[in-house]
Amino acid sequence: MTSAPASTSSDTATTERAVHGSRLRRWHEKGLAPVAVIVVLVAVIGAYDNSFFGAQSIMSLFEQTAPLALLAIAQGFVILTGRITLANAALASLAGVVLARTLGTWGPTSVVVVLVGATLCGVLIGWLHVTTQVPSFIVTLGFLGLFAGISLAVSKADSFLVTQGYGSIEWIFLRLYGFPISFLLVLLVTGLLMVVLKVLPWGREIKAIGLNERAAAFSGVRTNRVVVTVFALSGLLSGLAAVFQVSQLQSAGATTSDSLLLPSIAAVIVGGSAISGGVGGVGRTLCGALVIALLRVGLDLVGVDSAFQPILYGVIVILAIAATVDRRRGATVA
Amino acid sequence: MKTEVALRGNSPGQSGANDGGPPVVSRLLRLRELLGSDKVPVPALAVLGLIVSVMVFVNPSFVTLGNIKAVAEQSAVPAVLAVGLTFVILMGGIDLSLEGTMAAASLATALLVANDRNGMNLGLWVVPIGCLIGAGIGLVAGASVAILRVPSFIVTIGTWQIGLGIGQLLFGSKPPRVQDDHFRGLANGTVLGLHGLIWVAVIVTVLGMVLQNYTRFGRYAYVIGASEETALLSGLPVRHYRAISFVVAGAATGLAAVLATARAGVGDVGIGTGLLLTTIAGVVIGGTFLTGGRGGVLHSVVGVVVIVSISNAMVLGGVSSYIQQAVQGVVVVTAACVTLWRSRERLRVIK
Amino acid sequence: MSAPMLGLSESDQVITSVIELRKVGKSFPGVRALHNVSIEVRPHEVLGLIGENGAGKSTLLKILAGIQRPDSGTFFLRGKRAFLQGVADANRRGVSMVFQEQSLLESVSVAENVLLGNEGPSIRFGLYRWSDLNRRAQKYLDDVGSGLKASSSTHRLSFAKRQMVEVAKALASGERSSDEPVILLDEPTSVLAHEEIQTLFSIVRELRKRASVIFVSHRMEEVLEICDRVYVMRDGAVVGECLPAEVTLDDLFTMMVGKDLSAGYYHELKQEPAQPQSRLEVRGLSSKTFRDVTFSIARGEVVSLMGVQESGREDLGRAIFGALPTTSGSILLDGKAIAPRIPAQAVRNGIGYVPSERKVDGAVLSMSVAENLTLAHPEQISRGALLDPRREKAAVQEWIKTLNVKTPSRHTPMRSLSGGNQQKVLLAKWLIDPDLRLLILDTPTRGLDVGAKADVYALVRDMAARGLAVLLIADTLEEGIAMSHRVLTMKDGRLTGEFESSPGARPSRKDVLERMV
Repeated sequence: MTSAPASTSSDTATTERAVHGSRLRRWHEKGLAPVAVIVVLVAVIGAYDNSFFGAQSIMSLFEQTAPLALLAIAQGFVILTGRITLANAALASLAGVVLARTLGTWGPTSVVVVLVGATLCGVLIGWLHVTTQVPSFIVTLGFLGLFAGISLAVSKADSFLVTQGYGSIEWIFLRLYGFPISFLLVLLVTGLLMVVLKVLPWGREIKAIGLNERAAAFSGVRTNRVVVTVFALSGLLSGLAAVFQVSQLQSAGATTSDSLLLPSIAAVIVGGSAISGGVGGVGRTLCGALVIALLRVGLDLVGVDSAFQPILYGVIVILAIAATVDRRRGATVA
Repeated sequence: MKTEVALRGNSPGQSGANDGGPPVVSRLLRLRELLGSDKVPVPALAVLGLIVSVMVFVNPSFVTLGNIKAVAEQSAVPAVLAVGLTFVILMGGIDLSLEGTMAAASLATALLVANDRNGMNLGLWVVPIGCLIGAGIGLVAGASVAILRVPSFIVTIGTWQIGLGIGQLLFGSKPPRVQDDHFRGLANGTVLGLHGLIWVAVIVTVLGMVLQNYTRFGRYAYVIGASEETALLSGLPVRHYRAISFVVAGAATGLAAVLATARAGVGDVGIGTGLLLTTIAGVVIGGTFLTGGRGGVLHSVVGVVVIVSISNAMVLGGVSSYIQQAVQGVVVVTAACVTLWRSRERLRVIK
Repeated sequence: MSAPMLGLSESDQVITSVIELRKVGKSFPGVRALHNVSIEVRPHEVLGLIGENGAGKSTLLKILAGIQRPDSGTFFLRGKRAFLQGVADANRRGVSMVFQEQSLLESVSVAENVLLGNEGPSIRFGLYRWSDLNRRAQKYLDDVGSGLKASSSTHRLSFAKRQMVEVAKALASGERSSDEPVILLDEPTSVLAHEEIQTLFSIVRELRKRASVIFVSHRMEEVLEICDRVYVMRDGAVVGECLPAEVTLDDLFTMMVGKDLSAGYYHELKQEPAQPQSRLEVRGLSSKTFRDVTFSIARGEVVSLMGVQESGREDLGRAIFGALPTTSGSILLDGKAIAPRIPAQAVRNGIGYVPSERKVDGAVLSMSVAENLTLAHPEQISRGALLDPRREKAAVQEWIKTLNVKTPSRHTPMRSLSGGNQQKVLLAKWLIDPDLRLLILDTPTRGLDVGAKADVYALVRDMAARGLAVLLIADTLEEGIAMSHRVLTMKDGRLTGEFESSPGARPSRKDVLERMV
């Protein structure tokens, strides 16, 4: 019997388009694109200003990138399942404020508390999203407001300087033989997560959910549960980013990490993840974060008005997605 | 959606049935039908009623004429925003860019009327120009969705940043002050005791309703939102209309920025700060479904008034104003959950 | 109203038909849906189209409606060759369809639904003239005797009323051109109660005065009651054209089933008797689309579930797998009650499911063969909690070999495999679990070439011989009968028949078909 047809393209057409798929996309899918971009940017910046190649500025770049990298990885996991979170940066701000306040009284335990709390926030967001079947951008938009409001209330719109207990996290922004510990930790986290994704069935389940959630569900994958764990991880990483921020600045305000929301999304996209999910990875997201950081450095160096940065991010995100949108997946776009 | 087999021979109730009972009954039935239909934003009004009844005890100054006027004024700019945003949402899309578009339009406006930075003096011409700027940014979003096929939530995050950047570029180092009193009167001048701001918002709402109920664009927004497939099958140029919805939203945003700039007297990159959450909260609580096809301009505007009333009531009730954002966030999530609760299905994939 | 249309064809022949298809063929990858079909639709007639699943009815209908284009042959519309460019184009030319799955929009009024895409005349200076729109729509609503007001909302309309709005809509579309319309009704009675069906029939009789109506239904008595002429289809061809007054139901059934095929194709010799222990017991299971279903499957038994599309059989399969909610009843697996609320729970209990929409629900096309094969049971390729690449390689290669899956490597994306090979991977996905107890197959051979089909049949036989219970929602009558130990038939949501089936003692297709329609 017939039904109102969803599309009139036959399967043969899509198969053929797939076989002759654009080489650009396949390259992009392998995650090589951001690495190439990094190389190009480094070369260009270096050519403009030789001192950039000095160890100091490169190390400083790595250091600056650490919190962004963590937030980008947090975003990357969510995007891998085809969803998005608008709340990662706001959660980091809130976690930072809470951490700054409690470091003095609880010392290192406060770090654990904050990380656990951030993870639980992630669980809440994920659970709400899968249970109510409300789109992720709405749920996370709401939580963005919630976290921002609580941050403001707790901090009374003031920046809080950490005087006592700073020692527990001060070390993060020190250097180990000249190499920033913060970035070493980021590399550690990245490596760990890459291994986990490869070695646990969970990693495949996430990929399957991003590529074809219905088929995954029909294959017995507990899709809801996996999505909640992804949001939980995202929360944990946002909390970790907050720890890094407090360590770096020795203070925290209600909006400290807020400005990292769009760069975190841009980093994921530039790193080669598909906005529709299923394609992406932790390593490439880290590269994407480096690209974003390099862009910022490069623009500053060339003397471009910092106002161009958001414009650039916006354009890059739109173009990057447009270039790689998988038309095979077919679904109508809203 | 599989059709359900009429197994028991029963079928859902027929509409318009009136078996000729007493006139009171039929009038009550019609009232019930009106309330149950989508024409009137009932849940939002119910919430408003609840707030009013609570505030009568907590702080009766809530219901004074002065406060009502204040609420109306605070609602004006988000209401204009909501009118534009409604069309995008009706079609199942979303526009997250309004804070950025407002930044660009606000700065442009402030620099085009008589100001302390340059010699421009376009007076009220900035009104259509502001709309055009907003429409232009909206066009970028609309074209990206329609032609490049990038999902709207990410495109409008992009245009948000683009608008913000443009605003920052124009801003320079300090805010340009508006020196055109006539222009400022657009928002602050009083007509019949109400500030111009409110009148503009009312006019825009009425225009929005005309657009919604009497034009193809408006009616097809409902069609596309309910079933894009059916729309396509009927030969409707769906992508065309989607693109237009973003242009309309952008134009409304531009207008809202002009109003806000007139009110504040200064071009401000942060002029839209917080309004995204407020407007979306208003749209959602008013009963316009985020998945499209339900609700409308009137719903969204009433919803915005409710949200503003909540903030106003909180302030009068002594609640810290910092919590407002938090409350709006909770409202967005709760209202979305409530409205979408019925459409839940096992194995339904919602991203 | 105008007289029957006459047109001059290229060869100067006088054609009195409204639509004529000459030697039309249509193929999809792996299957020839239509072969050398020639039919005509005459003015002012109700034309019936019947045939079992896979006979080509729906493809033919799609071609008539403009949704698909024929690969070969000619389409004549009112005497002239026509190339319909989709549904909207077909509507403009006076051919419109009432889809089986209702497409009424709840967000706009009844009038807007009726005149969707057709509002033009009622719009002046860009603004809707509502009174005009309502008036135009009301005319069509009255023509079909709906009793509805054009300005009312579509909320809470009964299925019958919705159907009427759809017919009014088709009529309105059909009359956009100045010629008499052709209206296609696809299974219009499946959601209607008895009195409502009679109302529909009177509407159809009225329509006949100013249009041609094509009536597709699996309910043979209805077809005989309302149609003036009937085409019978089988295996992609038209095998008969008859007048209802001159045929009996029995004749129609005979035409629909044709000759029996040979037994070798289905590896009938491999069929071993089922074991005595019961594996699956379904008692009184009900959901939105089926009611009070009770049956059982023994270990090593293949039970075929036959029925037309709205019979509820696919939903029954999904419900047992936990993919569909049930409203009452129980399921027992090896004596233990299970109530899976999501497929994952059914999978934990040893149930597997191969969906009919392979590309959408079954395979993750962008992932590799190995990843798809191991998606449901990663514990089979793990050591502890971690995936073990060596175990994976061994298992995947073994299954590729056993099932003869043609793929360059186990890392090839599923997308690159042919349909048959994809299906084998999807079967292996479940078979990889040694504790698999029940396998539900939803039209597993649809779209597969002959060789692949034979492989699947052999596989099912082997698995059953080893004690696996199989619920086969079969693609064709032959398949269902030849592959099974028992055949169950469903119609309109209920079990209507049960037949024993063993090599040499198979139920006739006619008998089974009678219980389905």
